Amino acid sequence: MLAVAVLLAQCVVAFWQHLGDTRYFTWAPNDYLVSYGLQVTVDGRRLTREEISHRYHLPFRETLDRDDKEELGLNMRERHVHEDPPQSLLDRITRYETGGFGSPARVRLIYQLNGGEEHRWRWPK
Amino acid sequence: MRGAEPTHHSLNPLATRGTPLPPNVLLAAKLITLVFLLLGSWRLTAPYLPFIGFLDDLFSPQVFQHTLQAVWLLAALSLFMNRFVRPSCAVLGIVILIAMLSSHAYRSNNTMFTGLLLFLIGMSDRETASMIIRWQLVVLYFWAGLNKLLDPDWRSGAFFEVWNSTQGWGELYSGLASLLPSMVFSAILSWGAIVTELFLAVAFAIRRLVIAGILLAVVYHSSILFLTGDTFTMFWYAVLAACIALLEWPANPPAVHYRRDGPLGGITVLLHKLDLAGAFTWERNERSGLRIVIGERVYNGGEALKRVLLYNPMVYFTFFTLVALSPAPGGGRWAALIVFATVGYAVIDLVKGKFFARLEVGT
Repeated sequence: MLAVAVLLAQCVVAFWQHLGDTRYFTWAPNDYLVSYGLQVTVDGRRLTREEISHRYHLPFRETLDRDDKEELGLNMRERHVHEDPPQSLLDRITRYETGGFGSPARVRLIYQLNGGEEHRWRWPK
Repeated sequence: MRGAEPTHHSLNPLATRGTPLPPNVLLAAKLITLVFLLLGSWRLTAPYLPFIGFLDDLFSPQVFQHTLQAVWLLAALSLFMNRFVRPSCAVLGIVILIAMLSSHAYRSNNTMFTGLLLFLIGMSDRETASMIIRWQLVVLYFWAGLNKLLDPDWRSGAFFEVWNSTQGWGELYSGLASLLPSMVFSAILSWGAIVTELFLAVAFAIRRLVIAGILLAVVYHSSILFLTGDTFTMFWYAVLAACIALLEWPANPPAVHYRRDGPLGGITVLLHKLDLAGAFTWERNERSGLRIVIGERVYNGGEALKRVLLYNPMVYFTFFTLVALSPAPGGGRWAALIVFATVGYAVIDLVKGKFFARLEVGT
């Protein structure tokens, strides 16, 4: 019975997530390619790549090289790849910045989803 | 082929028989656990922006992480010692799922699938294991396929166009894509993925299509491994292990009879020596060639050798270990080639079997 409940719960969560912009726990494996660039300033100082990675637990493992970006017509400031919907990236930054974990930051994010329209997002809004 | 094999508690970590789980389901659980250990995934995570609020309030982050690690490692030890195998699997799965819920950054589909698979194996028994794992695969592929189908960038091929360009073989892809009008090649591949995943959901839901589902699933995910060089951490291993858990497996250890100086003597002697899991009963018989007895069926020669390899846990332990230890990224591509060859051989065998069965009926 518990196994059946677990299977049904996955379907309920997946359906619920499809009503919004996130895909947490919905079996949407690496279905998105968000290319993005991130600038974070704390107390007037721009954080390094390592500091940003540590702050938001973003691995920054996958980076796009210049040829990729030219071929795809991506903004040259976009260096990193995120394979979940963009909203999960915005959620993480927002949750960290509203959680009182450290000095408040000013965040500038430029991103494109699947090589589409360029979006700009700032924190605080 | 499932049956009520009596339980006996072997301490041999490679043994897969004599527990409340079917041998191949226990093998699947051990393979997943082994790879999780080898990849260092057992380190799990400290809480970070948890999905369930209180998970970062319980202890300090270090205590939380070390507690998860200790519980997971104890459960893994219990599983490999063949003690409390079902509760051990349930605990292994729950710990992974708690770790995932405790960290926004740790959540991934491969982690979730690994945790759920272990948990569901823990919730199953000899009668229900196969059905529960099948339905987990139905849920996985249905939602994966549907998510792609509902996404305009998947339907148009836009996702594939960008994604492929970021892979190491982007130039080859561009070359092939340039032979067709813009986006057509990407759209074909996108729709190929959508149709494959939705077909897999149907195949695992219908009992007589399960074998087709198994063959297609391992080829599909191994193709992605071959192209990207990436196992997506645990995902490729967990899917293959799930497929192993769905195979028909002898309820009791098959009896292997062989002659040392026979045509297949050399390899059979080697397999006998390497059967550290005690999966077969071996009997040297100088009068006949290689023969395997599974229940009431007897197979000889090459047919027997195929089954000694298929039902041999050591083959799977060795294969998974070697892939897990291959340097990433790209080191595991050779494993995809082995999977392609094995599936190709199995398909030819199945087609030949059906063809000859029809001929026999016809005559």
